[in-house]
Amino acid sequence: MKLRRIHDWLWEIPREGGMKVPGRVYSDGPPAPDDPALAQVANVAHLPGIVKWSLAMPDIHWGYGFPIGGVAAVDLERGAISPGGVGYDINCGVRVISTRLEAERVLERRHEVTAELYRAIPTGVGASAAIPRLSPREMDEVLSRGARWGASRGYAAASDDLDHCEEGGCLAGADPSLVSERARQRGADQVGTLGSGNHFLEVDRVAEVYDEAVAAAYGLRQGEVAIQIHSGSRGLGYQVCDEALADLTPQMARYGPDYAALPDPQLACAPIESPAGRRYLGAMQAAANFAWANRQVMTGLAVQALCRSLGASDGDVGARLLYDVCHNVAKVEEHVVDGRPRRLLVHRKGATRAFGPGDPRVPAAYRAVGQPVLIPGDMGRYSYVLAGTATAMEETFGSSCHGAGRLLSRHQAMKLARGRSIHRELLDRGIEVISRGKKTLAEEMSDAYKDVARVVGVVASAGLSRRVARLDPMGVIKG
Amino acid sequence: MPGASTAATARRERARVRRGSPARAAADDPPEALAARGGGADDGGVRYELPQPYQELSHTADTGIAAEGATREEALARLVLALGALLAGGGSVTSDAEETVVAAGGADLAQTAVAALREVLFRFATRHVVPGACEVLRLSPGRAELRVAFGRFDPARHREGADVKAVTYHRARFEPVPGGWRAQVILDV
Repeated sequence: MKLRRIHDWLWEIPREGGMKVPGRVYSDGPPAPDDPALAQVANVAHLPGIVKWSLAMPDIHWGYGFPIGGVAAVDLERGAISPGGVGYDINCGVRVISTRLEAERVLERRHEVTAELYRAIPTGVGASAAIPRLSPREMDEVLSRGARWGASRGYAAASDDLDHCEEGGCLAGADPSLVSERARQRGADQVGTLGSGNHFLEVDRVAEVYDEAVAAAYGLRQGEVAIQIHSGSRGLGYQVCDEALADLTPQMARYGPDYAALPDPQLACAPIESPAGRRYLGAMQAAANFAWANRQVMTGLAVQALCRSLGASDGDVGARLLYDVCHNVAKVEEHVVDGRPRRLLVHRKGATRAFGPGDPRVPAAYRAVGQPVLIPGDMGRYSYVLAGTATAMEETFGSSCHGAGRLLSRHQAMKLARGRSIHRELLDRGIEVISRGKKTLAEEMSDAYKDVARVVGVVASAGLSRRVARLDPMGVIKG
Repeated sequence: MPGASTAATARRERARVRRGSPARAAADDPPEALAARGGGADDGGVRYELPQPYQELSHTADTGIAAEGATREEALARLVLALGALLAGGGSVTSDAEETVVAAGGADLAQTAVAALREVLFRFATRHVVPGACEVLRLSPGRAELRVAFGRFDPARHREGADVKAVTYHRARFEPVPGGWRAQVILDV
């Protein structure tokens, strides 16, 4: 793979063969030319209608078709929509809930707090029944209304939660009728459940504030407690993606030579305006709403659990949703490209929207400082709250990284964990972790991930986001 | 048809006798080591029970499984049971109900195998059941018909089970190898 240095933090894969645009990779040094994720960046550059660049954030790693950490914006009229550019876990995302609790108060009762959260929020394989199974009518409402459904049922941190969600916690255009019976079956008893893998719920301490003014705007104070939730659309989103891939893969050639010549079947796609493209878009938007409802319900359950475990009132806890971001999604957005506004479909697969100051799509409370960008790390180290920038708007369609990125495969992590007690190691570092099995802890241990501080360092140095605060875990629940 | 029943029983016995131990090869084991644990050269229509030999493949964020067989049907049956082994996390599976699983779609055997495993995974996701035995009744590009015995997923016994969420087309393979066939898929976990 040929690479050309643009500046200290940015490398270009020159356009060649069927690539329609160059690839661009944000990195703190030359990326390894044999990294298969780079080939995927080049493959994505073949997408019909792609605009400017196929982008890779510094947490890029090998995915299916698209790399994880990839961004591709396509022209809304001429471009293609790709389920692989969204990922299986549609609207997998992160939210942070700030509180007015002093960290010391939670540290004293860390085990009780974590255990109560673990009891309240089902985790792990087949997690279900956090709330009663949805009726078909309720499922339609969830798919249409997203986080609004959860908030309307009383699951909330505060009354202004919806103002602090990307897109207000609901994608317009969602069409529940396009979500199959099978997908509905998979999701009917999963609203309010965490899932497994790299999903987690953490009780964090605001350990360091880098930008006092922005942190104040976000309501973050050093030494206070925050709750962080990472989860998505559970089985429903997976089924929507599965069915779209099965629908699109066999009929690619009918859309013309650009589609027939795509270098990887996992890049299955269709013109956005085609019936198949419209079907996926409407179903994907509905699945995104399901994910928002899921995180909203977990928010309510988590705040209640925190109050119970501390014997505190809602007022004592002072919970408030700081923000909610999605990092697996395709959204219709307007961006300025070569000096003129264009309507694009921006695929972010393992990438976070990072709109800068002044953008009207940023909630009014944060508009002067830019959108909160929530970047989880691994369970043994730390996570970051960043702010979006004007540079991100110019270079990456308003996008930034989404996490640490894996360093080891799950298999390699298991090997490395042999003979060790990851649970004990974390306890020794002051972190209480509760999970269903030991295997998850081994697969998700810190050694398996890049240091998120390094990833954040790249996006900060490249100007794609600004550091606001660091969150250190005190309690973690995992699937 | 006592004759047919006897023949079926004999086939089942042969399959049980061939149960591999250890059942799982390491990701870096050579293919011949895996094949040696597989053994057998039967035609399709044989019922295979857990545990069966398979190989776990490294993939950065997820995991893959590969299985070999003397026939295409054996390779697919073992691939289905490899999925079962991952879901059960090494815990035993008590099969208590059999059903026919039909998978349609896919331009080739690899895509058909993906479709078959997706059918099995859907049952896991919605009914919390794990495949404990599998017989491939028919297999051709575009269609697979399997007889699968499922057992209940037990959160205690299967606590180390992987939460497999999707069977992907990414690097899906179904191809002849010396002595038989090899099938592999990457799973999203």
